[in-house]
Amino acid sequence: MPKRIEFGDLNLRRKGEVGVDISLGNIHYCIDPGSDISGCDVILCTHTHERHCNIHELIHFSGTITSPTNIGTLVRPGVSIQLNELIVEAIEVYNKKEYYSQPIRHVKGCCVGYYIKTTGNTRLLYTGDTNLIDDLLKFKGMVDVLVLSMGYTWSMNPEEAFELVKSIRPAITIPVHFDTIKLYYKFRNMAYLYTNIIKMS
Amino acid sequence: MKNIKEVYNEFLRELYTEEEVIPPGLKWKAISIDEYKKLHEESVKDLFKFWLIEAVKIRWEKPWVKIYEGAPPNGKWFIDGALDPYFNIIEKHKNTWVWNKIALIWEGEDGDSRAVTYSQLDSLVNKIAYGLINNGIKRGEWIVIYAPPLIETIAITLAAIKIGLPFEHVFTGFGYYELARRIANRRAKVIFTVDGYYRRGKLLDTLGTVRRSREYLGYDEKTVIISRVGSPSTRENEILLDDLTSVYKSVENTILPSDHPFQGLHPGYRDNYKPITHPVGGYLVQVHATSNWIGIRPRDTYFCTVWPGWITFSSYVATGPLMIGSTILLYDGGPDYPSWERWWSIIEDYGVTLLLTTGTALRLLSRNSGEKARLFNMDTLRSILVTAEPLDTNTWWWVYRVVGTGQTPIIDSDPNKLTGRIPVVNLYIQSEIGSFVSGNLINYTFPPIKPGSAGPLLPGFNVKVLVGNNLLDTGFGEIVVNNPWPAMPIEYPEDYIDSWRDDIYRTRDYGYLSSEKYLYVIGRLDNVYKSSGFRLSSGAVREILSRELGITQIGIIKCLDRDRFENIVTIYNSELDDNLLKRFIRDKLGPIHEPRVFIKIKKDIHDCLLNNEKSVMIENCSEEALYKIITNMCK
Repeated sequence: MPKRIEFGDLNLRRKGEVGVDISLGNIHYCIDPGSDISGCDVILCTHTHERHCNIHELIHFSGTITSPTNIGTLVRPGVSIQLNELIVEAIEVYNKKEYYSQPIRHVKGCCVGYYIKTTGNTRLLYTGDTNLIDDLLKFKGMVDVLVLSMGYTWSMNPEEAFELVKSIRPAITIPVHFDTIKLYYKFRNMAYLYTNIIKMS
Repeated sequence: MKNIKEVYNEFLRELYTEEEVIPPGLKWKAISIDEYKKLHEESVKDLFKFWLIEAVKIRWEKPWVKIYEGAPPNGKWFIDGALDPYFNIIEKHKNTWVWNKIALIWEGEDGDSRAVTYSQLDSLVNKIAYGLINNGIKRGEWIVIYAPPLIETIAITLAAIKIGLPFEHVFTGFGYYELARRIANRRAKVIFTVDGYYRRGKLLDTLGTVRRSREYLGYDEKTVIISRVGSPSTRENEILLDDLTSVYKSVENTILPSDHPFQGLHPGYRDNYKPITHPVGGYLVQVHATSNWIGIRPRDTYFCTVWPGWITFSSYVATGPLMIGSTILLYDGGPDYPSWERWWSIIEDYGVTLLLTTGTALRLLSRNSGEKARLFNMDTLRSILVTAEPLDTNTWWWVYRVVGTGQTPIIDSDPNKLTGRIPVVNLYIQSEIGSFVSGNLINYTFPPIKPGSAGPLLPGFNVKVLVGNNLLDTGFGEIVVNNPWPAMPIEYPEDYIDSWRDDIYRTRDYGYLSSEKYLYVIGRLDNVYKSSGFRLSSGAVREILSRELGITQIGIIKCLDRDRFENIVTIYNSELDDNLLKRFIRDKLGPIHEPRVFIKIKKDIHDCLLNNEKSVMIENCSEEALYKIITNMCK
């Protein structure tokens, strides 16, 4: 199973349970590393659920942190910030009430996704935990690498994930966060003609 | 020990069955054998018209005035036509959706992976092309590429194509002596290589082999090194690829006349390896057509396990799938590292849709991986293509059922009963022909699969069998092609000239052609042997033992190997130790050339073998059997 993928000017590895470590040069930008913050120079949190960003770990972290809460630099949807070689735009993501019978976990405003551009013009979208919402569809043709939170109750189901991929057509899709491998296969078997899906360890 | 034909005929009985299979995945696409025969007959009735229709599917900068003239082997196609090969392979995708999709994904043994889009690949190609021009390399000058399947290997090939440099890939399983032969024969202006790569966790010193070749030849042209495993220090006349590409300007594509040399190989012949060269126009027409026919599509993720240096790689990795716009997956490690499940894992992890591999690989996988293959979800696979050698029916059924059933049913397939689901298609190819010649075609003629066969003849190839002096439509005999084909070599050795008689091309492959036009290819009628899918010249072993070690009495006999299809036993009369000979062959020619066994006899070889080694074969490659037979014979 691939452990590391190089695409354009970035190197990408899985980090923690649901996150990724993208490195450019010697700087490691970790998105949602959970409790595994070792080796990270910058941490981008989509929200502070433990598997994404563990606040008990973050208090020991001396590097830059961005999050939609009061930890580190506050990021708001639609606002871009420059982090070394990256332009990082926070995007709005949330669960849709109509999909769930119980109170939803990721309410509007609690969380963000990240749309990242490198100096080498590599474009990465990290969805974070969200359902398929219209805001994500605007990235049609604008994504090289999609890190897709899917197959988890509070993220896109395989059908939603497939719709997103079919709509925005990323060159590469790396699914993360799935509860069971069956949900991953279900997504892959629908979406593989529209993107290159890579299952990373 | 028997006559080669006797051994092959017995083997053929193992291949031939009356079974016919239409996989559920192809249920609505399959045609009847009668429909197929009609299509094939129409295609060969007016061959030039048939290939003309295929030729206009690629772009020509200058139309040809005549489709074909001359008599083979000197016949030429697309007279006075000119084309832009780089446009036809890569640049045609510019301004289409293909441009920003992944062209190549590479994975190494350690799990590192890299991907480039068509656009990024084009940019890399431009840089290499500029670097070559900047170093004074001119159109028509040959380059040799001695590297494993890497993104750079493909980019270098494309850079050569862009600026009109003919190229030859040399298999990295060949040793320095064989590499030197190819460099010298091509008068290569540049050798491209890699500092090393990993095979079963062990670092192979590829650059060291190139340096030995250069030293052996006294070669002072440039070597360009891909940094695969580190940052190698360079010597005189060596440059790193990163340095070659550090300055970049846009490079114009080169328009080439249709008979310009495009790519070359050194196929194995009776007494040695010798160069052939395919022309750009006819080769691209034939490769483009057949790549489409075998089922490669732009949305495919295509994994071909054949390495650079063999015709399947040249046609169905370096050119054909890119002309179509597919994603190609490259893996430069061992199939059994860290376990025999590595390829299944690759198929699952990258959602591979088409697998192209060899019969030997599948046989070894069936024995070593077995039911473990079912632990992987390979539902994205829609076809498994097999090249280079016969595929026995047992292995065919194992692949069809265990690998090809998948976990999700299609039409009426049943994963619990391993009913099979997708086509497993064996195809026949030969270097001189440049493309597949037979096989069930997923995107064209798909009659029922007959396990054990290499499928029905491809449209456009009028294949027959030669039995004695009779040219027959069916029967056991030498497989011949009764027509010129667009990719016909434009540079060739005497052996190729000799294989053309009365406008018929003798392949030297023996087989059976059924009345339904299904081909059962067994092996070579001469002492060329196919081992692990490689076409190897036993004459090369003889030559080096004789030339370098002074052994004058050498006998080489082919044997039938149940794993690797064929191998050789080398009998010699000399005081030298057999272990020394083994090491010598591995070092000079490469490990793929090591005979199954060396047998030392202290007797005149000619008396012993009665000069019949070229026409006989041993039915069993086990060391015990070989010793017994040879020692009995040479008492």
